[in-house]
Amino acid sequence: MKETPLSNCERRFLLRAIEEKKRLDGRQTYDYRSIRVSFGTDYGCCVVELGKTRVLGQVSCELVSPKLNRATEGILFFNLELSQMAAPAFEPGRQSDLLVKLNRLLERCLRNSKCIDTESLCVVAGEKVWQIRVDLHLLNHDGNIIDAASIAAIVALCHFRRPDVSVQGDEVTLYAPEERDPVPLSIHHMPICVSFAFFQQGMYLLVDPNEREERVMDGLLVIAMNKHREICTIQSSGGIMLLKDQVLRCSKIAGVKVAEITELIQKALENDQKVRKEGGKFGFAESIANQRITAFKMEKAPVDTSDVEEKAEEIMAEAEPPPEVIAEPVLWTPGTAQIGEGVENTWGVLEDSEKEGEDEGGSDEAVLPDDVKMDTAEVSNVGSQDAPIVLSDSEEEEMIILEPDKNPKKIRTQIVSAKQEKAPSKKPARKRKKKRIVN
Amino acid sequence: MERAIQADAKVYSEAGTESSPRGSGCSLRHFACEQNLLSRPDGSASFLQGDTSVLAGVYGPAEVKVSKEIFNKATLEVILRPKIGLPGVAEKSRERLIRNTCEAVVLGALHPRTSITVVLQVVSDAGSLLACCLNAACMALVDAGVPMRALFCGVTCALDSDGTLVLDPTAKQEKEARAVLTFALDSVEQKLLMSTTKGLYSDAELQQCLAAAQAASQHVFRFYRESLQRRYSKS
Amino acid sequence: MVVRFKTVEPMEYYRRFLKENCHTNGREFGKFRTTTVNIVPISTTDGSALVKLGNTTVVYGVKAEFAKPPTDTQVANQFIANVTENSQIIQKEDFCVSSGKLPWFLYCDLICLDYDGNILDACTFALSVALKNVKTALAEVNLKKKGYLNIRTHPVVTFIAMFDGTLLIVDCTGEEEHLAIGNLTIIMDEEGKLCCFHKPGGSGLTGAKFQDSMNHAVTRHKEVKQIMEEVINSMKPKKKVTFSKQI
Repeated sequence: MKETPLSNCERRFLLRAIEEKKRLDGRQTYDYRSIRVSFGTDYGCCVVELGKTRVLGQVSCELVSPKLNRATEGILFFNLELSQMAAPAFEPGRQSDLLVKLNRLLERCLRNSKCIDTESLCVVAGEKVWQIRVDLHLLNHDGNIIDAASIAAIVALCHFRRPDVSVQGDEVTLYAPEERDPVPLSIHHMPICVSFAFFQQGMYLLVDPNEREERVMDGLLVIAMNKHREICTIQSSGGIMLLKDQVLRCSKIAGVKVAEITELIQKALENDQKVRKEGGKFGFAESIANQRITAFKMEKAPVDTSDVEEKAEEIMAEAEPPPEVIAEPVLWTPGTAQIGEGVENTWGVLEDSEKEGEDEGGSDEAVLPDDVKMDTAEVSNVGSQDAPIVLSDSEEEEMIILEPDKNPKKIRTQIVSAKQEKAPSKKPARKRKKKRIVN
Repeated sequence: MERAIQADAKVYSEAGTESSPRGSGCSLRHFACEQNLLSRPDGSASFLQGDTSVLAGVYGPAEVKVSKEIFNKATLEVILRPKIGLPGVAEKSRERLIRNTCEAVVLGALHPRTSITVVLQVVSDAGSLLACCLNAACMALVDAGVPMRALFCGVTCALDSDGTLVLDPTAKQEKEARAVLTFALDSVEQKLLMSTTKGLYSDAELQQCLAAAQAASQHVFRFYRESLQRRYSKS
Repeated sequence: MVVRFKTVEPMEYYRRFLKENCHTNGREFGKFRTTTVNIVPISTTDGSALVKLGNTTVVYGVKAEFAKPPTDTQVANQFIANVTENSQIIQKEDFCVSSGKLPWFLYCDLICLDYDGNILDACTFALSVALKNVKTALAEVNLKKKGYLNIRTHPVVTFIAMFDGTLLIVDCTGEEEHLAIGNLTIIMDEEGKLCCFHKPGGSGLTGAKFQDSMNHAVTRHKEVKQIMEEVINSMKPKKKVTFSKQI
């Protein structure tokens, strides 16, 4: 499905509003939309909502052999997916420019900033290391995907626990969560992306643009920073010229925003950990707001299944029993057997039917479907009378080829006999044709 | 109303973690559903059965690609996305099952030359995933206002090695079970729309499972009705 | 005229026949098409079979190879079928079978020569026969090695199409399959246990209806079993002769 285009008057309206320092959702220039983080029951699973933009993050791990040039380092892999659920224009399974750009930016923000201690992921140097895979799914696209995705990625990584391993000699033992508590990843710092949208050749600036604002912006500056105000990556796109002052101002704003977001993330993580420790309820079921009228919950419902057996018996008793008498199979030659009436095969008779079409042509038109029914019924009767004999020529020939061990003489006689017997069976069929012409 | 639900929730507090046993097998886990939670799709729903959770989004009736256009009815597409990695053969076969189930109930003839797309995202899998996908798809279709001749729901049954029937099994129960059967039933006559099974079982057991699923479907449909009632209530 | 009627209104054309409880070629609903089985000695395989069900034709080859013993030897008869349906006349499906007592892997290649409906039935039948065939061949060839192919169950597929919500038709042709509003696949083993009850969507079905279809499956199983035994028995003495010649 194509993206709905933005009309000119909409575009003008949005730009005018920005010039007047107003935003459609009532935010100030430097305001973020509200951020909500919720966790799933599994470790390393979270949903981050940035306004209406929603990203699902899931971290998984696997023991693999390391890359040749980095024998003592674990592997970190990011995969952001733009699901069609997020916006109708996203096509499944297509690597769009936007997707490639976002994935690259995420890698630069999280992998290249060395926020995760990859050396701690090594189990046996040169042989076994952990591969940490971060899957991010965009569920709803309302602008600023990169900020939401970077938050989801780092939250999921912080939340994740990998199974404990022990190495004794050459043997690597993997412990189930029941045997030993899973261990968290060692995270050095938490880089978070902050996006700035520029309008009118850099005259105006907005933090955290939503989808509409993104569509009218001239350029985008993304700064990834941690709470120690260390810049991890910086990217300007859209071909806009920025002054040094502008970039410096943006980095200052980014510092403030990152500090706020980091605090929020840590609070959310602590909260989840506390609930888990105390044995309370956690998971997505808890994050559904009860107050919304669109949400509804039902507690565990017992189902009365006492009469299930009776019902089943009743139905089975009512059904017709399978017929006792079944057709006897016919053995042709050793290794070839047949069951059922031989009316079905149209392989051999294909030529006949073509001829029929040519010969009769016009006269055939007078035949009504009802007559055909009669005819076909006749055919079936004819077929069933001498059922086992009707074997198409093609099949017999095939049998000769497929039975190389046989005495060739034997087969030849067989074919002759089959053909002799077959000849009479063809006759009624011809008669029938004539009949039809008469009709 | 709100208070009452929360008070109840405390009584059943073990249901959240699912580490504790669920008592007798013949009960459904706690259900939760939220509709219209995504802004972009025409209809969306998040469906939770115990800890299994699926998010569904529906687009349609909308513009259709010329290559997929059907002249006398709407083109129905279902996309199922796994949580980890890329979709594989298992997802493809599930997509087809869900698609055919939806096609049996959606009145596609009312919207010829359009597309109806259902996108499902697995959020967490803790057993009875296919049933949860079906329920989420149905609620999202309802939210999108797609005309349907009946509602449908998915119910999973598991048979233990000693033949005990378990409804709405958890991942652990599914793993230990001798046979796992998933049915899709319609809301009008509880007719069987879809069924897929794993493992060995007798025809008597199949009939029992179906009867149990039909009983369970009544609860699911009641849940649908109550959540819609709440949504369209004035207060 | 008839041909044109069929082209323009295929569903209406079929309905006329359905009213009379028969297929377009006069076959009754409950009846299966002619099933022909031929044990084909494809020399490069360890066991092979050709199954013909009406026009639907499937050739099956099983190749046994000594590979690493599978770690999971508990699997009784795991049966993974990846059915990729093409409307094309040539179809290839791969079945992978690993049996509990089997120290080698079996590579089963399946080629459909002609597709005219009810493909799964023909495929599993061919598979069963071909595997039976492997048993005799391997047992004689590899006497020194202790391998013995133990086939415990013989699943038989029954494919049932639904028309107009109430009619159940067994063993339909390709055309009928295309027009049907729903279908049902039942796989049953020797003891009447079901290993698959697959209904991929389509119109609804009541419990009583599918009990009927189950009974069709029972009948079909009897038929297939009989024909299989017949064919295997007929092959046994023959095989010995051929092998002694080769050796």
